[in-house]
Amino acid sequence: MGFQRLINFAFIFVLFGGATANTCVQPTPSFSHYTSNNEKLSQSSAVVVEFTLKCKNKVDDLLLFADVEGTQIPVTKSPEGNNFQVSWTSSSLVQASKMYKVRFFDEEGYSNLRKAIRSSQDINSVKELFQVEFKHPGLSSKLWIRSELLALIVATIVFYVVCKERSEVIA
Amino acid sequence: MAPKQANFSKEEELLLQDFGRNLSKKSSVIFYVHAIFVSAIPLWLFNRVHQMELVDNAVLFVIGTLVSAYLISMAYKNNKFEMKHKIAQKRGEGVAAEVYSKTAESDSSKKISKKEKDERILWRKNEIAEAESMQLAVFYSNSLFLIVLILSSFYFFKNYTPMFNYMVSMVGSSAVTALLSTSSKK
Repeated sequence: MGFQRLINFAFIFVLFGGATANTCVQPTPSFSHYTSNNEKLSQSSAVVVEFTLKCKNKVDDLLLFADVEGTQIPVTKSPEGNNFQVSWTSSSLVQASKMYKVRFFDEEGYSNLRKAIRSSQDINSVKELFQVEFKHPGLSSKLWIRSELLALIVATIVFYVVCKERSEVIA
Repeated sequence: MAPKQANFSKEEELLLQDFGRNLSKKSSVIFYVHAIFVSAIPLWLFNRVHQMELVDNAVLFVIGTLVSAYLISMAYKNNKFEMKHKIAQKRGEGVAAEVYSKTAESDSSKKISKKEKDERILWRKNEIAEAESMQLAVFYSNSLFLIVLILSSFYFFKNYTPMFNYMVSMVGSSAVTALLSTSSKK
């Protein structure tokens, strides 16, 4: 009986131990980011965030998900080591500079996040594994009119002038 | 039916040469150079805005540029022919006044016959009409080509693949330009 109880405890311990093996304890990310901010003709910007994650425990095949302003994006992991990368594009990034906060969730956190979204709860109440903040500089200057429209207007003015001159000649 | 007169006098041949559709070598070269230059400009646009690599799409670009250049040069030729004799008519009086004043200023002992004065007027009129009609034809055809290209490439075919966009926009714009140049106002 005592032996049976010992085996039960050992089984439960392994179960929970296995469950916590995929969770990063005390995560310490070191990250770098890139944002495209010099394309005056573009209508959206791209952001790439790369980071290396150090955990207190040994983690195998850690799956992460990023939450960027309410949009969840899967994070890709390099085959070796704990190097991760996430990227996205957005037309809102073309606008003025501001601080961006990206929250990262493990599998359990992500499922809690999805539950919160489905039940229309505040997603900020779901605790993330860790978060990173960076500043997106935005465009240094932006035309208030779309470039192809400006080109069309200029071409139309030139064509009108030429047509007028031509009609004076042909008349 | 009376037989057609096959032999033209020297003056008639000169008139046909000056005011006919055929271009001189110099005019042809000028037109082809302008046409290739105008057809090559959109390559920068498609490379930077539509993200088409020059090396990867080299064959397509060469074909598109050559076809477009041929059609635009045809438009130049037609527009120039249409405008040349109109310009010659408009400038006739001014050219005659210029030639008469020049001959009057020259040595009065050397009398110039009326025939020679008329020839000088005709030659000068042809020279001015040739230059002005060429410039106006190039200017008009280029602006028409570019406006149709901007409309087709950035509005009508904006959501199509870049390759399809390039071929249809370039060939279509140059074809429209050539087609409109064949119209004549009576």
